Amino acid sequence: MIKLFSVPGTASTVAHAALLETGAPFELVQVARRNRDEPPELKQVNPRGRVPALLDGECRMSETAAILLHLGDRFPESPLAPAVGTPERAAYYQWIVYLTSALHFASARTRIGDPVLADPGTRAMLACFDVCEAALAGREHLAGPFTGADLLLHMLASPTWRPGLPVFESRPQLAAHHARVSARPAVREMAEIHARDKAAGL
Amino acid sequence: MGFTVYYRPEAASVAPRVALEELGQPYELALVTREGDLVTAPDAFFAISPAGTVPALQDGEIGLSETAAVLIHLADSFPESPLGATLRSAERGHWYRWLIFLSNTVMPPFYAIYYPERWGGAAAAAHGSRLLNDLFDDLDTQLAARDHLVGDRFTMPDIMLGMLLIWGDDCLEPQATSSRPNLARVLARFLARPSVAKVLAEEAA
Repeated sequence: MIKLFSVPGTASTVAHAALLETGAPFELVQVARRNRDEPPELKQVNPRGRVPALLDGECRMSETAAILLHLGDRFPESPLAPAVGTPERAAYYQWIVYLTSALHFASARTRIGDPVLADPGTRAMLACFDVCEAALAGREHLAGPFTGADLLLHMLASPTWRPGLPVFESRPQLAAHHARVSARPAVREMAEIHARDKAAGL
Repeated sequence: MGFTVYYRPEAASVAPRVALEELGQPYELALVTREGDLVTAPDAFFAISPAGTVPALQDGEIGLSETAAVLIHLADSFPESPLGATLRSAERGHWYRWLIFLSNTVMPPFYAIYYPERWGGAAAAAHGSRLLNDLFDDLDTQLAARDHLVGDRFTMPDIMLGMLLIWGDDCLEPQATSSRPNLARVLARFLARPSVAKVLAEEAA
């Protein structure tokens, strides 16, 4: 069975929601941030205990975006990835790579709490949100239909990812997208589990 | 129909050009220029590159941007090519992991070096250089006993790595491969490929 190592409330939430979208059975192993060096299997995937980490038979995956791409291939009937060879599939690849390299990277360079939102990481993040806002005009999801790329955007735009960042002010398409993805049963289930486990001190 | 690569000389568009040369596919080139934030390109480019960045690829009715995404799309289009990895294989998982790691971890620090005005000036550029030196140390160790990132053959992630080593020799002081013998070997083999030599010669012209 597929096993996902996760720290509550981190980028692991994307891999977790993606697994729930597939409807396949899997085991979720929630690890407290301070205990990431403990599970021996997690060390096999990633010696530094980075999460998310996914064990799937011979496949040992780290990197959120790579896990999304793997799950999209592994479960072709799920909504995670459009059929190979279609324009939607190409758009799905593009958005996953863009979000992980431009937006996720910028978010790691923000100075949290900067009152003027002028640090380079924050400016780059907001510029990425502008790109997403323009792309979402006239369509409900980044690649057309819902895909794994929308889960990645959903996490990076969440108020809990960079508290205080004015993501949705003046970006109505992005706000509507966020509400749409939040309403998905898989995403709601994921959010409840992570809230519960965080409250339990994990 | 056919392929069109939107490119800027010596930018990341080198990667899909090398891939198309390796695949033996003819393609058209469309130039994209940039001055500050002003990007000048044919209208069709902006429809397929939402962020206005190169490379972008038009493949018949399919258009997309982002280096790794274009490489994945090309691999899907030629499933018999050794550049790709079989869908749903464990190797494909590795192949994705390398493409994503090179995209979101190794490539971005170069932006702080090449565009310091956007990322916080000289301090950001120095930070980018430190990050890259650590990453290249790690890659040098990982490539001690092998020539390729995935399997035992040249694949799409090797194209990205080769391109990033060229950048690392271009902007790091000392150069990325100067005291890293394994990276030096990997880069020498990359540069010796006819596909790479052809693209670099055309872009330098």
